[in-house]
Amino acid sequence: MSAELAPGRALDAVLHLMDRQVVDRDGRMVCKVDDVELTEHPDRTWEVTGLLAGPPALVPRFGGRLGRALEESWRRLGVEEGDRLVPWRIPLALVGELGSGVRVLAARDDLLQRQTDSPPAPGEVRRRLNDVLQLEARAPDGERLGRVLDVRLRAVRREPLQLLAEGLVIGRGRPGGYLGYDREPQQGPWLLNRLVRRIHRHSAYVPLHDTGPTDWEAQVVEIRGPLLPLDHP
Amino acid sequence: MKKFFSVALGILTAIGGFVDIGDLVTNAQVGARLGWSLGLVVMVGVLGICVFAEMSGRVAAVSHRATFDLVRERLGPRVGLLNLLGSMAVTLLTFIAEIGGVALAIELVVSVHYVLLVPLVAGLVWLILWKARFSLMENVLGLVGLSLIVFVVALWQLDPDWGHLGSQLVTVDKPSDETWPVWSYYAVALFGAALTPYEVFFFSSGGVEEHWQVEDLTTMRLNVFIGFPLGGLLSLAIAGCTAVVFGPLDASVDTLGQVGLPVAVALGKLGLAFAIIGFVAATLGAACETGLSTGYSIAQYFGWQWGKYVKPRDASRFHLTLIIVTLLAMAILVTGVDPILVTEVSVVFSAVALPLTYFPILVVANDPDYLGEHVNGRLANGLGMIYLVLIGVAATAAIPLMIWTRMGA
Repeated sequence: MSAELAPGRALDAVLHLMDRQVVDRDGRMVCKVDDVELTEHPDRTWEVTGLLAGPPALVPRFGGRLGRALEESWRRLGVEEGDRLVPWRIPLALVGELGSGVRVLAARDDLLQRQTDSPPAPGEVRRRLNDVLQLEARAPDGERLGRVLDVRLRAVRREPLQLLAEGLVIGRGRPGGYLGYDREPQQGPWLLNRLVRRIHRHSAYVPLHDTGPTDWEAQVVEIRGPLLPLDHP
Repeated sequence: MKKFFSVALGILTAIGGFVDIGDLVTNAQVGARLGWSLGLVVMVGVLGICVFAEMSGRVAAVSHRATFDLVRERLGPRVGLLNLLGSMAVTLLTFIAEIGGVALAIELVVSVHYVLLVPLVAGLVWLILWKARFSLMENVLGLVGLSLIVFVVALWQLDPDWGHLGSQLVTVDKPSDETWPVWSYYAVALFGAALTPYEVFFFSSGGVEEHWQVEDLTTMRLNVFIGFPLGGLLSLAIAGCTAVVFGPLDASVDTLGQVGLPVAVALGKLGLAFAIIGFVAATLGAACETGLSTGYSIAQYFGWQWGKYVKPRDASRFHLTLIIVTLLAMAILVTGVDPILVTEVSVVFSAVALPLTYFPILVVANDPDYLGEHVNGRLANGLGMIYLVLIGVAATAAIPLMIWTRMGA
């Protein structure tokens, strides 16, 4: 399916972008979307600015002890390299089409550059989608609401592509979060759908403007508005 | 007319390519010990592979994504990696068994010990993977594999007690000299042999290799729903043949030569020649398919360029993977490990690994983001859910049964 990226279309970063195959303009395969680069602007808006690839992007996503051990092993296999733990990056402006795969507008030769080769503008902070997914959602009174499971994006421009973050999907982070059933009541098989939706019954949607400041050190995001029912983007 | 030929060719190669070393050995062993009393399991297994191959083929035709793309997208990188390791282990085991199978089949003719033939066979497999066009590899080996039809002719010539075989086929029962655990063990093994995970890795990746589009869905379905069941019929014929020849003797089947023996009994040398040609083609074809499947799975997990539709130099990591797995398979086989034993183990572990592959396929085949209007209908989902339960039972029971029955001893 080649989904039209018409301005105004919304998509969920984990469900529709993360782990997808990247192909070049000639249809050759390049890499996977191992992580997504999110840039935090000074006005606190979040924007997708690049796709990250390579072991330095993938390995931290394994999480916990395994993730740290694998990352350390990866570093040790090339301690001489200063950019060993810097992932490859494809600027979002090069992305032409988002469907079952991600098509970029360039040829794959020399396509991947280190993320540090193109530093962010002053005042802008780069995060990884995986860092956002580590955040715990808390109400202002400190009540735990769950974890951030996904980031809802909206395409605001097509050429070059611009994707702004619009809200957060939060929930308990139980198994089956990548399957998509929590956002699609009609997706079959019926029994599997009911089961996964039951497991994910606490999942909800919060627009970004209803969130408070994010404490990246403590990995907590404050939720100020009401939790909205989760639907298909 | 051209369309007709392409459909016919697809069906014929599906029949010829259906049987591999796992099917040959397991069906022959089961036939000798249990007759056709597990025929129902073969039929259930064949329907299962049809259901899931159709789903994965449909996903490949509509979204151009093969199975391991989906595994990582729908299970995440962590569970996806575990899945990759499990599936790779099983596929590699099958690959070893297939290469060993080719060597054993050639040994039947040239009387050179199979270990000496292994490097030659491995070299041949690698050469095919490196050089041959995808469609050529599929069509030639699939068509030559059709010579296994000699087992159907042999069964007919052996003139078995059809009433007895037929009643075994339709009832859930066992011969009185076998125990239910043994019956269950072989049921799981047959189920694993029929549904081997590499078949859908290969089928869906092959769909991407051959640039299937939505228009090709009908052809794909005809191949699956006619070709695979007819291939399953070959499995039944093999079991029937060994049932007739070995059943009354209380003998078991431990070598590839014994698998072909009933054909020699029924049809003489010429028949045996066909059987051996069939063994070579079927196992060589499956060796290529399993070898490719290991490369497909790893490349699809990490996002590398894969496939034989591009030149080897454009898919260098993929081809490097193929070289490494071929060398690895060769290294293991030259230790002198019995390929038949590897086969027996591989089908049981296939059964264990089944849910890893089939669950994500069922989920994505329902996802409108990938498939739009081509998502599963009620029939596919109903069957898919039934099979998910069956697969779960087989996967859970496989290892306990293997230990309990000491591999069916």
